[in-house]
Amino acid sequence: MDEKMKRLIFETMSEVFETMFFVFLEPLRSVPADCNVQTPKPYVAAQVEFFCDSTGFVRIYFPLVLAQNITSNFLGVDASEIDLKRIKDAMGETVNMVMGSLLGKLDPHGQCTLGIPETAEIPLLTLKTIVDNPKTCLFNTEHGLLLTVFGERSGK
Amino acid sequence: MAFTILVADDSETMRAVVKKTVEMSGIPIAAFFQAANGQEALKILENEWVDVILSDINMPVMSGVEMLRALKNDKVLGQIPVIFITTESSQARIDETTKLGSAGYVKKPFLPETIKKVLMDVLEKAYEQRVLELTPVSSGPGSDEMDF
Repeated sequence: MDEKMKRLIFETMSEVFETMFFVFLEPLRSVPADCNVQTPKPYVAAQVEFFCDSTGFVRIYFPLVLAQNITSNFLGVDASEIDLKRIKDAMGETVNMVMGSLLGKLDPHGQCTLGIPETAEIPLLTLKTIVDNPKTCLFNTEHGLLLTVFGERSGK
Repeated sequence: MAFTILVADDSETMRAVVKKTVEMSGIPIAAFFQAANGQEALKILENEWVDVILSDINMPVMSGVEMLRALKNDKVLGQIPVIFITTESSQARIDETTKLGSAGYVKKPFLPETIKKVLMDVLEKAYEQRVLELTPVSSGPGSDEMDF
């Protein structure tokens, strides 16, 4: 992934996270030394497919605590009032907003469409293979590493 | 005067956020209906009149655009203003919904003030339209009518 694209992804994600959730992201070039990517941690994954000249997807891995925090900020309610169903719904909406905003910039003529977001709780996720993927963008947050992966499925 | 509002979005969270945003805007609300897709919204409209619909575009079962087309095919329901609140932010998509007769467009992510402004503009226009429709046409000075 080239630098221009990475910058665009960072700008778009920052716009969504800051405007909607008051969460600030710090882009990372590599995993911080104090972060153990071999130790499994609880995450929520949200993914949405896009259909352009080629079909692809964007998948965001949210640390569970960050996902709780985002949902709480989004709804303006205490974290204790939020259940997993609501968290998954909010993360699905988040990935939808990220990809929708990105397409708005990359596809001004509206040729691409988005699928319906899907989400899953991953109680124990090992980050190693994901951070090693060259199509992964890393972000530091106050609640741990947030990972965004872009994948292509097939040509038209 | 209080308004009835219908929100159509497949995300329960987004419906709650929109509801809260509208409540906080100070716009008086008489009733707030919620639908998870266009089909559910049309079902609600079989029994309820609403002043405005705030709708997502990308929804399962029936999209917001399909719902708008269905509304425009109905003489009465076609008068209800539809504001899209959506991630689909290309100018081409905005132009397409405007052509179909949408009343407004709010891109996600949004600021609460943006929803408030678009909603107030649309409700004001709808209110003026309703007043015009209810005002009897009277003959003013200079009218050709004879006064017996």
